[in-house]
Amino acid sequence: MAALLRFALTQRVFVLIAAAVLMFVGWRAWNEIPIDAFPDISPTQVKIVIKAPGMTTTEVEAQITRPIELELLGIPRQEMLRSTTKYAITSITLDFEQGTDIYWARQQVNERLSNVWAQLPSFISGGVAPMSTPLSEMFMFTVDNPSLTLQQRRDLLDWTIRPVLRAVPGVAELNSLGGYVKTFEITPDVSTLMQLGLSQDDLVSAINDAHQNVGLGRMNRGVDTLIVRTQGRFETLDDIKALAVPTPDGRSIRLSEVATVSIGSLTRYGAVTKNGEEAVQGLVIALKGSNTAQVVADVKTRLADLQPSLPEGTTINVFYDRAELIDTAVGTITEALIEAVVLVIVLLALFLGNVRAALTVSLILPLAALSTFILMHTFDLTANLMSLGGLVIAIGMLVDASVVVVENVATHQQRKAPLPFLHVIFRASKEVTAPVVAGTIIVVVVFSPLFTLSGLEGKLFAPVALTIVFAMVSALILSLTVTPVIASWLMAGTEAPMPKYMVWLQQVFLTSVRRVLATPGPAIAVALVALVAGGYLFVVIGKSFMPTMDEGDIIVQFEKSPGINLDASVAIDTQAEKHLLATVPEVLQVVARTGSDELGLDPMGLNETDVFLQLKPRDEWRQGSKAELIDDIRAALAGYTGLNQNFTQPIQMRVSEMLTGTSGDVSIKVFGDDVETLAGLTSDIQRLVTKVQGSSDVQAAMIEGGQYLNIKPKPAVAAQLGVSVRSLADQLIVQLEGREIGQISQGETFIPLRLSASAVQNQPLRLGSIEDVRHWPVLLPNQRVLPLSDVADIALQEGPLLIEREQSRRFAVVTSNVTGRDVVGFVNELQSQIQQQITLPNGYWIDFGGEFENQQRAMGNLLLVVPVALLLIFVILFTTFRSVWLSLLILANIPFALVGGIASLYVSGAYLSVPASVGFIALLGVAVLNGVVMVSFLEQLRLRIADLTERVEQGAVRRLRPVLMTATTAMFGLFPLAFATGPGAEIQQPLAIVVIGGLVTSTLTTLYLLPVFYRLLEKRRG
Amino acid sequence: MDKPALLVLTVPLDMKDDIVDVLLADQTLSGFTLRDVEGHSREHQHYDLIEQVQGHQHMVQVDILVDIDELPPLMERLRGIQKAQSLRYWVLPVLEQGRL
Amino acid sequence: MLNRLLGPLLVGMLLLHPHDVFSQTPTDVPLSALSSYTLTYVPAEAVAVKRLPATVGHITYRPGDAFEVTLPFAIQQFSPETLDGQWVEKGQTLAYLDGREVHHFFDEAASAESLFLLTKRHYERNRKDIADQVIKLPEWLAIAQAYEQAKLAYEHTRHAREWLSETDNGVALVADHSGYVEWLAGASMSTAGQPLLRIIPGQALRLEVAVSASQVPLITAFSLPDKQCVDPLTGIRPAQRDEQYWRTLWVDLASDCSLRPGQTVRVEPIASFSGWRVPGSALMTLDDQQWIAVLNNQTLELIPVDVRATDAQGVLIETTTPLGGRQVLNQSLSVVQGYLMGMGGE
Repeated sequence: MAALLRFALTQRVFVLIAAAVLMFVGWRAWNEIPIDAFPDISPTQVKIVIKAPGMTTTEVEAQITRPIELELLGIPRQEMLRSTTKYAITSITLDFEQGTDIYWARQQVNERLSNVWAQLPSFISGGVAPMSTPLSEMFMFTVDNPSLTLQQRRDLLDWTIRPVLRAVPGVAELNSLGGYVKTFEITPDVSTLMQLGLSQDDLVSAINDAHQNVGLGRMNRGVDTLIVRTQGRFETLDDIKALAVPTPDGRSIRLSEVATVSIGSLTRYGAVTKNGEEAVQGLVIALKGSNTAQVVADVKTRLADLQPSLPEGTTINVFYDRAELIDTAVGTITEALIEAVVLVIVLLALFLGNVRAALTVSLILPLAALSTFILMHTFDLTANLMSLGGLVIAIGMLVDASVVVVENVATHQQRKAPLPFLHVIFRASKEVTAPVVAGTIIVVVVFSPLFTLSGLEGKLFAPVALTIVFAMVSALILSLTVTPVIASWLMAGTEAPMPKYMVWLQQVFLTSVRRVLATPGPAIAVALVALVAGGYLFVVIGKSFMPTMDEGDIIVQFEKSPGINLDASVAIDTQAEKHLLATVPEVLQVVARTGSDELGLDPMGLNETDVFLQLKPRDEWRQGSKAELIDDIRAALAGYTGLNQNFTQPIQMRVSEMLTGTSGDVSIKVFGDDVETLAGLTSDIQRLVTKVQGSSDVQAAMIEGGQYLNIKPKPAVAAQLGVSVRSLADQLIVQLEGREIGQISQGETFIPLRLSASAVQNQPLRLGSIEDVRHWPVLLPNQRVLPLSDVADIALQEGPLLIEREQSRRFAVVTSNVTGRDVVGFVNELQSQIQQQITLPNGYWIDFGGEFENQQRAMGNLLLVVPVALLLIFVILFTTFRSVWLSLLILANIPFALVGGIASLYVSGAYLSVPASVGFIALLGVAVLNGVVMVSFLEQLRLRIADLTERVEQGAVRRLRPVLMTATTAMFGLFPLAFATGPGAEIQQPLAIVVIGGLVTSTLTTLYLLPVFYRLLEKRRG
Repeated sequence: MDKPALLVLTVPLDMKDDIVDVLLADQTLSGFTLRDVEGHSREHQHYDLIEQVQGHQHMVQVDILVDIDELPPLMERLRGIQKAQSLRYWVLPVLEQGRL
Repeated sequence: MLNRLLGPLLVGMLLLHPHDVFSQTPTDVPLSALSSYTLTYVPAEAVAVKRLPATVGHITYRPGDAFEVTLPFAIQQFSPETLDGQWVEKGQTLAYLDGREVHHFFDEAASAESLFLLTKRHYERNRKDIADQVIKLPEWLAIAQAYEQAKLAYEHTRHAREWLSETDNGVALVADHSGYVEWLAGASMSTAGQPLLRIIPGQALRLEVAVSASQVPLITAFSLPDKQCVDPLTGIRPAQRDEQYWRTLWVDLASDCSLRPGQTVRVEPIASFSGWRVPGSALMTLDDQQWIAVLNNQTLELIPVDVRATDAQGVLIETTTPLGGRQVLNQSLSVVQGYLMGMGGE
């Protein structure tokens, strides 16, 4: 270390040039670092989505979900296998161990899936979902144009906008929702078929036979060659209408005379409404690991380029733009950063009484920050709330090293010894090198166990720890190289005497220290009382996992009666939307999506709606806080009975779903086999939960009680009349789901050609009741017609609507949010209630999950991690002081320091959450650092002052200024974070609160308690 | 220098910087020499663990060439250094001194 | 694969568990609970008929209802003047016939006639004599026999003769009745005595339609959706012919029908129905039962209904509660459903 110092002071120009280079490279790194709001907190996850149109839930589970799950269970390194099976769709998610390579994981899944694909029903579609995370939905817009129909707008989105946006680097997929997907549809008329003696298959054969262009080959014509083909492919609706269908009597008839040929649409599994009208929505999904800010910027550029070529009157109405959140969040942090820097400089100037000295110290801030960026870039860290927050936290601690150095330089300077200034600097710096290095290493060590955190908290706080480590290490090196160099120029010849008030303070302190050393009893007593009080508070304080970030946007989730159809669902949504717009002026626009999206990434049921509320800028609100606004919205929607409502936010909703498969603070999962039993248990539990204090938005997923109309051919009749399941299915499916028989390509678009009946509005026959189904005319092979009830048994059957599985076991879940109290307390009460009042049958068990699960795990991890950190610190202390007792002495001061942290947490009303715990860890480091600085100086004085008491007194007094400086710079450096209000600050706030409170007691401990105990210890050794 | 004498001062390692500072600041001295030595003294038992094991301590010896008349004031100044323990010293006569 | 069969109709929904709150009849809903929603009502429309899915029928006649023409001679040349299915009036020329036997027939007819007249005169003259016992029985017998034989032969030709007429263009076959012509396509004219054509009198033309045996008891009338007859066809008689799953019915055609024999038409069976029509959005399912919500002062009264059919205008329902003049909720019904299921309470 001394060598480094010497090198720096001898090669000052070199050091300056190196600093300049550092600044340049750092600036470059900052520009290249990917920026997002959050670090990538998604686990390595691979999702499979399979669509099986028309298949019931139990069939999908039996024929698709289970075989696939069975095949996937063999993949190594997996952590969790979950699936959700609904009508016509199943979604299977496989989570892998932390650190598993996503590409490898996808490949494994793909292999297994192709192994099992042949066993699955032939008409299914889907596969492995795009490589995205649940947080990848970063840009959402509706396509508006008053002069285009919903179908035309959807076409525009699918065929014009989507190909362009999919090509943007970093975009995994563009999901389309809403509107109608255009089809050409053919609706045969049964009685006409009967008249002509035709069957539906005859039509299909005729169509398929004609809809082909066949290349025949090449013909030699003289010396040339000519390519020959037959043409028959339909290109327009008229082509289809004009198709000649051969009839049994040897003649033919046009298709349009046997069937209605028209433009229809695919069966809708979902819809989008905007401000009370149906709309079409596009959703950009980013690739996992991409630079969100960059991708959003590119998407916007492409859209702007595309705009002129879109039909007139088209607007791309963006209602969610992750970049806004990023900017706000990053802006909040940056603001905090700048404020912190300013505060620190002011403080330094005050304490040192010397602006130039203050400047010398503060110059380390930008340099350390830039150096941190370089390291972040090298280690592929993204810039986000957490990592930048780590930087802000580090600000106060960054300066410690150079404060100590500069302060000592100033002190030495004051002595006005006729020594070369460079030597003075060297001396002063060398004197404090050991404690500074030890201190930095201690802080690094203190944060490194954070890297062992797993799960969500690991992903969130590892960047914090990493940036702090980078910042501290950079600061250390810089304060031992650049700071002395800068001091040599800036501080030369400016021996500022210690400011008068500082001198006065030192006097006051000396007196008090003397008194305390003389009668340590009261002080120790006070300390012990405080310790006990702190311990009590620690037990009593509420515990939670993570404070929720204010993302700015609000999502209200509606769940309506399970059997509702899409049109009815949308009708209710539009009412609620219009009402919201009319009564809550803070809402800028409302975009709601009901049901499933095209890709099936979020297969909500027809009764489930996510209502996205885009809000006006905060300064246009009437309310003061977000919580008040949410209350107003709740009030506005209070009259909307008959549906379940849940308030959440975009990222929060996805994170919840991603982590636990459900959204809600607490989820109670009941595992078992029989759906009916599960349903009964969940309804009982739901009632229980509602009664527990603090529960809100309690919901039990509706799994059971679905009814299906089951149609089964009567065996004797079927055999006699030549009716098969296939033939019945073929005829009836036309009326419901429809059946694809080909594709028409027009230019760049593909239009499905289907047998279906979506567009025939005024057909006299329609299926709208069970009676209709009973009377439905079935065309038999003998060209006669019988009602379906003559040919098949038609009956209602019960079956589940939704089957959820985890690790290949069925479960049902009750979710609840928690308001007004801490989650852990809530769960404890709930657990005991369930224990007392619910008896589980054999083979059934309950698991608690949700945010609560995370909190347990996080706390468990931290409790393991902290003792390890303490051990490491002990080792470092021992290496520095070579004395077990001194090391223990310093460690013993930690609890007193922590008391302040828990007190300030309690007073501020916050809970003990993961960020708060990280704050305690930081506090640990700071307390130890202060202790080290104090003790090392006391040890140094050992050679100069013989009398123990005097040594302790003098040492304490001499260290007053640096201790106060480091403490206050750290504290004030955190004030901006503690009081910041923008989105993103909520996560870091508890950390700041803890550290600030803890610094108060830590400083008192260092200045008073430590000398007392040191003296006691030395006396005993004496 | 009429009567050169060599003041040899044995100083614990930790005090090296302080002594050096004082000597540097003393304009009357023409210079000094430093030397790393290992030594043992029964009077000062503040050994760290290594020294306990080895049996001797790291120390620094300072050679200061000074006129015998200038010696007492120098000794006064050196006494004034804040220290917890005494510093061993001896003074040697110098037969000759100069520059080549 | 049975359940691949059809898209499930999610018609109903139970609230999770048998011993749940709503296994008894749902209660009425106060309007105040739905104050935030837009509620609109329509009156229930009384409906007396229900249409079943269309099928196909034939315009034809019952066996025996048409006049069949048979000529006792072979025809060598035949030139039809009327088309199959055409309406002809009595006396209209149907065709021209030629051939050796055709002309021979006229001679035959003439001689039969003269023979008849002769024997008749003889018979008449001798009738007095046998009464006076001037002649003996055997002689009388011979005279009577001759007379009867001649009469029969004459009658025999007269039937056919009535259908023929000698014209300047040849021997014409003329219609002895009015009606639709049905040429018997398989007629072999080179053989005497084969049925040549039938004349179907107007009122003999009927609709023949086969319907499922299970539906027969329901049907009260038929309508032709393609509007060949405006009035529904109500005179329905079953046919003798029975097959296992079908019954054939004969339906009288209404007077305004413009139909021809041999036509196949689409027919819609009409069932009698005593119920109401409400919009699709007025119907909900709860507890395995369909309901509508009817306005009753400040509450919505829930009325159980049975759904019978759906058409382009709405849903046909039957219920024991009279709905005349009542207002039926047709907007926001699904939240009533959710409300009754207990959704939205916290």
